[in-house]
Amino acid sequence: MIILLRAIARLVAFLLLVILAVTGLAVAVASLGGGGGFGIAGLAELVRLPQLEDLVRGLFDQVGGSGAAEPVPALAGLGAVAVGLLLLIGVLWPRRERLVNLERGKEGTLGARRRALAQVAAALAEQSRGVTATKVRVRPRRRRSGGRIELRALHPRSAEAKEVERQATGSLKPLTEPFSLKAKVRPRLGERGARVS
Amino acid sequence: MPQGAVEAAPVLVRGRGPSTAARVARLVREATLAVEGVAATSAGRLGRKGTPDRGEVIPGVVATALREGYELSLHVVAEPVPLYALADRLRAEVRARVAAGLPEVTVGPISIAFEDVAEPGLARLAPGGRSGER
Repeated sequence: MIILLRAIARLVAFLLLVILAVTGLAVAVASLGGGGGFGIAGLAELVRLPQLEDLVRGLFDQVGGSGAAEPVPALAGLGAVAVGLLLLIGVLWPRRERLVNLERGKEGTLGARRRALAQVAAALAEQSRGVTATKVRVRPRRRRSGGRIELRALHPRSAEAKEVERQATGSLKPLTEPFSLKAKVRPRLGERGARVS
Repeated sequence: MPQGAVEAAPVLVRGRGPSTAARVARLVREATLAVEGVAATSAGRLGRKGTPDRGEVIPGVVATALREGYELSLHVVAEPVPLYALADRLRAEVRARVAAGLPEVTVGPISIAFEDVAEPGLARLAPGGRSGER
């Protein structure tokens, strides 16, 4: 969702830049063709602003008139506000860092892509007894090194959830102990017929 | 190169000798690929992580000239082995190779980014294997 909003926000920003460029061009043309130099009134006439004003005035009269609010303009207004808010979210929502900083020192930094860490974590956890499948999410810390590994471990009915959690957490130690990574394992009952490792 | 000078960016002209940055990057890439646990070097999804060398790019190694020596950034695809130990081995191997092959070059900080893991097979990560090495 955020990726979509960000893409739309970029598109809108691009379109606004195009509009700005076209406006600049119009100003330049108005300055050249007018004979008497550049004039705001001439430019407004050129881009048909008076006609636009008439059009908008009609809409404002509809919305601001006495009596019950017209549903279509009111909904359009609310929609415009919602679109604006969504675009703001798309622009301002912080980008999630893809590289997890594992260590930072004089020797240089050590980092890993979230996907690579998730692959290693899944492979480690699936070795533990009672885990049939995993789903891993890696969240890097915003400022400091390290991050958090959230692992959902599926297990059959024959395996105790607490034991699965303990085993899976233990199996992640080769990954979490050397770095500032915290692991959170959530055991979940798997589907019937799932294989036990 | 006199002390305090900064080397110019490598010029993409064929027929010229490689720049020092390109020579360093090429040597470092060889050293990186020789380390056990490294499957490949990676230029990233956009292919921009590399050092230009006469019209081509040395992928996965960015050598940046500093006031004193070169800062290196390695982008590697690792095999499923303990990553901390692999990083240590990589740094040691790179420093040794550069010291032997280009003794006039000083290596500064070496940053390592694990871009991907080659395969999900896990024999070498198993507890009791080489896990937990530091």
